[in-house]
Amino acid sequence: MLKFLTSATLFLGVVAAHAADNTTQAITDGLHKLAPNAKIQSIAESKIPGLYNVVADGHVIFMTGDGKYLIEGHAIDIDSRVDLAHEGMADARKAGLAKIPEDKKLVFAPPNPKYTVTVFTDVDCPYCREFHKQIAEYNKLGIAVEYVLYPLSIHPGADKKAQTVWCEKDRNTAYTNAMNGQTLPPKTCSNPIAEIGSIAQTMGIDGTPAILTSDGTQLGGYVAPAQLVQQLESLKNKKPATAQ
Amino acid sequence: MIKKLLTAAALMAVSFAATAADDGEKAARDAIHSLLPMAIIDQVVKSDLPGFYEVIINGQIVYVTQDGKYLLQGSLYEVPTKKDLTAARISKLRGEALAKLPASKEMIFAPANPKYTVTVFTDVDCPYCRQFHKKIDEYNRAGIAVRYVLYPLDIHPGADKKAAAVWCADDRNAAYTAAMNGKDLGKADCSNPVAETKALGVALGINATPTILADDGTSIDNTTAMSPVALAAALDKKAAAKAKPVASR
Repeated sequence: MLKFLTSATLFLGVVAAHAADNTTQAITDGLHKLAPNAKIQSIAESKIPGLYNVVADGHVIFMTGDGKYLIEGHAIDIDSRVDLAHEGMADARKAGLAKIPEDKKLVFAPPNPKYTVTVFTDVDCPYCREFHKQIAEYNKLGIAVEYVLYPLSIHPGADKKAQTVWCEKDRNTAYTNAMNGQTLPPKTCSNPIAEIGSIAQTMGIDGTPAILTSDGTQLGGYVAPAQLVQQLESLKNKKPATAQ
Repeated sequence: MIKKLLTAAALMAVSFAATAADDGEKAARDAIHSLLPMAIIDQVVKSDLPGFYEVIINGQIVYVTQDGKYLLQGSLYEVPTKKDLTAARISKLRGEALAKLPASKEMIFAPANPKYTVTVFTDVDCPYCRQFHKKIDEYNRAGIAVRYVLYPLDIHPGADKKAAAVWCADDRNAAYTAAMNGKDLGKADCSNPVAETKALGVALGINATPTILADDGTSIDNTTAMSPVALAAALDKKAAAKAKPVASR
């Protein structure tokens, strides 16, 4: 009898991916008790029985449906070794990416790209420079790179440099020059940098470079061209199995 | 973090006798061993979090589902009380272990009538430990007795030998003070508890020095603890909080 009940609950869990209203309320109230200013982006049932995946301020936490317990940390699926806390961010990342159209990016693309990645970048970040040094190599491997300017506050002045790049007539050349260490005379104009910054925060992007596929999967960190194309290849092969 | 657990597990073997395991407990143990084959599990008990077991591995806590399929590592909060249950559990384990540690395995610097006692895991070659000890008179004057536990870190090669030399001196406290002032005590060897206190530190999940613990096992952040006045104030506050009746579940 008890077993039947359990499997019935599990079945329900699969059908209703999103949380019921009273659960949403309990979770919202619970989170706000601990973090009154947290902005909740999404609440959904997690794979872990009894726990909900809550995205708030660009981070995943897990809560019980009654809002009584909250876990902040990693959630490992033991069979696959996947951290569900990372996986839980994929939707938030995808939604964030959708809010950054191409005209707010710097695009370096080969003629017929096989893959497209979005790279959050900061002019003053050494690994972003390392990445860009090899931009021709990424392109040659069929990878289109769409840069998003995301100056980090740990690099004072990086926001001004990003703005200067954006305000140049030929943004791509200006970006390449800046990444080669050239100092560009400061320019200002209307730019999407602040907006991108707040979107990035809802996506939990707290470092650069951050390489994302269009479905929100984060691949790095700095990843060398050969490894990146490998990762993209294997993701593509995996897709049909995980499609819902 | 998982890697960290593994290293810690390999370092050290404290194991409580496993009591007759129910299925969920066994699943939890199996799950840990599938991730960390070498892990030595100290305890497995039912967690407050429904459907989970709490597993203690070298002073660190993870939560595993009863079916052994998922593992959580992080902080578990009880929302209505705003309590960090993970931190509270670790403090409790530490407090119990400290209560069991005999004075004969420590070096005690105490005033005549101490109001409070703190336990400090210390390493002769750790700069902040030296800075702490420079003010030992002030701590004592503030009514704080300090129990030092020798905990030489692997990142300081030779610190274990220095700890042994302190222990083996005729006047340990004087030798410790001299060593903390940079004096080379040379080599001295005798039967000493350094390996044991070090193992205890590992088992309690202590990974830095100085780690300063109050009697109840809660750790006091170094910024506070490095100042005798701030430490005394923090301990006053703790005592006041304890005296107040706390609504319990």
